[in-house]
Amino acid sequence: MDGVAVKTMAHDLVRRAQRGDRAAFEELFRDNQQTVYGMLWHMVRSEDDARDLTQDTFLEAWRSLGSLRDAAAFRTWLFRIAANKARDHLKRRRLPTTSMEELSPQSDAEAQLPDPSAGPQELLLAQERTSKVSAAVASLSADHRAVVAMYYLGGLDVAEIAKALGVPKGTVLSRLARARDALRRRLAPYVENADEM
Amino acid sequence: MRCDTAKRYLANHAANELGPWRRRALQSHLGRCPDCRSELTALKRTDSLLRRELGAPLAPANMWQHVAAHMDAVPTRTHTSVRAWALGVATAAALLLGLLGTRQQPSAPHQPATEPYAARYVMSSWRDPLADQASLGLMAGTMAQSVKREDR
Repeated sequence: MDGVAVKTMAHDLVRRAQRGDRAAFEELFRDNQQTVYGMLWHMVRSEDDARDLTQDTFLEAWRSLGSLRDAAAFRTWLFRIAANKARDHLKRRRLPTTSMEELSPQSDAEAQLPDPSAGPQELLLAQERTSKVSAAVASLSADHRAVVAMYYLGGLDVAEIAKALGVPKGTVLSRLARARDALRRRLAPYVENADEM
Repeated sequence: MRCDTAKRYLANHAANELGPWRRRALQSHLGRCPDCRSELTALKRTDSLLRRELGAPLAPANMWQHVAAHMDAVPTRTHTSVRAWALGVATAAALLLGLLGTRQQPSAPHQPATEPYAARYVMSSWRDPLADQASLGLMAGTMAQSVKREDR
């Protein structure tokens, strides 16, 4: 199925869900839950909180779906709800940014998606790399974490992130540039060995 | 183009957010500046590393059950309820217009039929969170009527 067909199907699901079709909403949930959960996890750094906030995000989406005018904007709109939930949560918790040393290796090990075909040595190196990347992202400010997670994990473009966060595109670009610079410094040995895209 | 400008453009270029004119100027600068070229290489590598390695734990399997269980309890703002809300506002507006009409005829006798209906409507719409504006309008109208009667 090509990209256009996938998008048409997604828009159809949104319209059906707007008419109260729960099965359509469940499909939207299944399509987006991992990305929303991943972004929230990067923002709040707790699996329990990320789970609760993801559930709240989808309940809020179900409640307000009737107010969404453009079905094509569903994903950006959903991320906006999630980002607002995370922001409120962080305000309540006043979560500090975490230094790389403070993060337990165990919590990072959970963030790994190892390649099953890799040998034990490669697997260990891959785990270490993923763990370091995750820890480096955790050391950024909440605003920068949100942009990084939406851009690299959620695959949103700059304009979509700007809409989701309710900030100008220039702000997203500058946050992205600063976050990338910080990550480049913190992950220097891994950056040197990475492929160019 | 100077290197500091080029470096500023590089980040926008990586995010596909550079206009054609600036992109051409940047490419021309990159052609003769090894420092900025190596900067672009580092930027691409950072991007590549983050795209490949930035992960997150798998979402818990039972989240949908929780969401589905709470969906019924959530008042939805669907097209149907928007229509119901609009109907409520229209009814309230019609009643307020009616009240204004009676004010213009001070000698007309009090019409008791409106008040029980208004009270019933307020009671029924009070439970509907989307109808609270209509309820408030009605309450204001009912209160204004009571005050008017007391004044007499």
